[in-house]
Amino acid sequence: MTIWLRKWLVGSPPIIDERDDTILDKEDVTSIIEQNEAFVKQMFQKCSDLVCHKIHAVDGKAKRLIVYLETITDEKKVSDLVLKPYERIAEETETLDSESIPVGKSVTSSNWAEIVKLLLRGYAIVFTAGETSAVCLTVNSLVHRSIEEPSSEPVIRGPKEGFIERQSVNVGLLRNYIRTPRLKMEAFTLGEITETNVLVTYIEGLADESVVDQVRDKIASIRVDGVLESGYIEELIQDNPIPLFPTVQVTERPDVVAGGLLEGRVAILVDNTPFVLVVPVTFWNGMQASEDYYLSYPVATFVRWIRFIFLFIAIFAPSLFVAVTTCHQEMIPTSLLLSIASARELVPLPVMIETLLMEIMFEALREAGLRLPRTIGQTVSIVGALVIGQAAVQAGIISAPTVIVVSMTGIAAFVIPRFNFANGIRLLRFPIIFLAGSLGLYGIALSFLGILLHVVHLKSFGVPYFTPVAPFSLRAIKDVWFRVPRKNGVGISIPSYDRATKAPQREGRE
Amino acid sequence: MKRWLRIGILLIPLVITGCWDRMEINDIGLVMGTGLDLMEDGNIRATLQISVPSPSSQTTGVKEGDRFFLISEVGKNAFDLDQKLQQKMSRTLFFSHRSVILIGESLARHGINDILDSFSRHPRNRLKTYVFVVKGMKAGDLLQVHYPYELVPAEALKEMQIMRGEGISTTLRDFLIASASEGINPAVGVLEPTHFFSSSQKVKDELFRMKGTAIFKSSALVGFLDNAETHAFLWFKKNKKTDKIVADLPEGNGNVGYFLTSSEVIIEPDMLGNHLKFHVDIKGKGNLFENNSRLDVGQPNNQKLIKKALENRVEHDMKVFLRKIQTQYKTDIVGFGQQFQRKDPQKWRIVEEQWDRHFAAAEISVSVNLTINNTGAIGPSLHLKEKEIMK
Repeated sequence: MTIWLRKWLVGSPPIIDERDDTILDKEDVTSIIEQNEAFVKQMFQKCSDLVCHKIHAVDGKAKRLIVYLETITDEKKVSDLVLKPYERIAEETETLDSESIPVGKSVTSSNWAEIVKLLLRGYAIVFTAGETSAVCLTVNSLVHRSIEEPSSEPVIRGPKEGFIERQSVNVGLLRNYIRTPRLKMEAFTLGEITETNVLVTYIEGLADESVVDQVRDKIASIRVDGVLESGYIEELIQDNPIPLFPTVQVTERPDVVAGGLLEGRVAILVDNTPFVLVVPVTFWNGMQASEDYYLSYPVATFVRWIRFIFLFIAIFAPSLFVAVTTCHQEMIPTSLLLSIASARELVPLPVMIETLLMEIMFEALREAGLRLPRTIGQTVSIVGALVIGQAAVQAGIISAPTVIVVSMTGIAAFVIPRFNFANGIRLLRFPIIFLAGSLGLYGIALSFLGILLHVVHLKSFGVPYFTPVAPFSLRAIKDVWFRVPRKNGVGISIPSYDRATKAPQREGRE
Repeated sequence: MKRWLRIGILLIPLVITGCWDRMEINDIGLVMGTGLDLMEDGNIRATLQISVPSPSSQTTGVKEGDRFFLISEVGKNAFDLDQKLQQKMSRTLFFSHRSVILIGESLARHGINDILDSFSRHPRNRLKTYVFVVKGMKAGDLLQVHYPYELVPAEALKEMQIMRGEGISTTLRDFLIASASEGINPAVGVLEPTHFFSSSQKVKDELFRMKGTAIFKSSALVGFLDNAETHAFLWFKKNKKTDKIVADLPEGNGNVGYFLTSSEVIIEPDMLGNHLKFHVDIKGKGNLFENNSRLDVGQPNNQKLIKKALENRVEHDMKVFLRKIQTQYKTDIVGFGQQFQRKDPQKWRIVEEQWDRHFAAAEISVSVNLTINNTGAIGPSLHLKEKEIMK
């Protein structure tokens, strides 16, 4: 039944056309340059960026063939580092092996499949007449934007550099933070077509081996056509069946990843995206901002508490309003009830419908503001504020208290520092409003219980999601509710979940 | 699949036991106050003050209408009344926000046992509702008075009760506790009609004021205390915190005002044979707020004088009050009996049956000790000439 359901939902796995690969696997590089050239040209038919450059010896025969894709190579490097040395040597009829060419990485291969792969990564391939192997030299150009401040997690105090789309640059950024050979990076290539580089990064000795194993296994078992962004991998590796609460942290900040690595977590760097995944993650990690550790601890603790309060508001404020005004009017102070009643006197809709409408409207405004080109973006907020805040209230379609509650909720959701945490919480509001409208506070209590059950049940790579509160650990909990002064020893370098979970985890496994 | 079915079955009882009594705010009629009067034929007339939530004029431009209206009905008991009153309303009567219950004097004298039951039984009723006895007017009529400050006059009554020191504040809960307890009787505040002049016209408008205390004996009104006696009674209440005491000075031809900030009253029961004795020990702390005499209050001798005058005043008032409840009404509203029961449960059994008679015969002595903490930063009054001040 479940298999059928999954098939119906996901569809059958895509059939990959493997014809080309089989040819590639069978044939090897020949010793005749012309044959090799013909093969490459046939393979890259209708690919206008293929460049085949032949070097002729003194006798006029083609001695070498240099093949590369001009769009992803550094042409200057090609001419300086590859063409010139080979031309010189061609005249002197000496042999030149890959090691003597002064480029970064070079591979000698006779397998077409491998050669084509490397060619597509921006390598220059050098075939030599009479040899059945080709030399592949890195001359790829890293086209990338400059390092900028991360837009999804801005800070006031703290490093302003963010990851970019090029993995090697990202790794470099990370290496700047953690200068130790214990920083391991295991490379994987994911995506049958896209061949995306994925790095599993951790600090040996700090990271829990079982977590690293799990990540490795999960990533190795991924079978997809393409990986365009780390979101693909996030979805495929998380153990959460209903991913409302993310069990994978997403960040654009190298300092956050470095901090995570120091806490013994594992980072997954995907090429072509500035978003890096960090696992395992707990609920409380979602409520921490990197800035917590840069500000003074009383301020950071205060801000953290504000976040907890507003987390509650973000989830429950509209539903509490609905529950109290429809089922428990006796709970509202008389004068407040009178003013709510007079504000609602002209409103024809039930409070629940009204609140749901406003919430949906708010989400629409948010989405519109996000998707629109920046120049028109402002119009949306102005129109939204005028239409919803002013006209709808004046026309008596929406009551002012509802507008206040909904906008307060909207602001509250933005207080949550990790945006992927906020997303799930925004979604949760709607069923709770519905429950609150039909069952009152009892409905809210039910939904709260439900959420709590779900969250406590969750695990992120073996670590219970509510650590250190649910498997309780007094030592680690200090860093959840307070930002403990660093001299007290509980700081960034102590893994907050590690001590709390190691014992029960081992019991569970054996 | 089976799992989800099971979860679904588990969820059904969770949901069907919920409170499905949702009511929109637009569909409830907020009852702010109830007035109860006894009719000549023995039926009860109930008058409800219901607030009208008018859309605020600022946003809609609608002219503000009446903030409340009254409906009134005659019936046998509370249930009957409720049914009849609901027939007049387009919205469900909502009693949870009722702040006051006014009881007409005639009904109070007749006894309010019959209606008390419904107040305590219905869950929508608040036990924090204040109870008043209306003197000199029908309770229902008093609800008609327009009160200029508050949205509805019932709110004004509530606010007046919350202001401590100006009268006793008795909630339904206090009333029920006092009438159910041994050795104490309930006492509630009294409302009286009065008048005020509105700024535009010279016509007198109706208003109300709190004046005195109504003494109940087994749920029936037996008599009233006047303002001075009520203030003496307040010493025994926990809310004597912001009371003012005015005393004439024997010499120095003037008077002083004293502002009480904290007080403590200890009742010491004692029984020798059949002779019941109580000692009331009153302690108070406060500040001097007014001095109309030429005394320099900075002088310790003068302070002693003032203290003595104030203490005499309190003692006198207290004795008048005690005499009244002992001899005239023979009703223990203070809780002397309660204190006695707590101190000596064995002997209490002897007097329990006829407590009111025993209480009336008891000998009560009073001692007062007031402390003047603050004379108001200055010694003598500023406007006096040097030679006028009595050191």
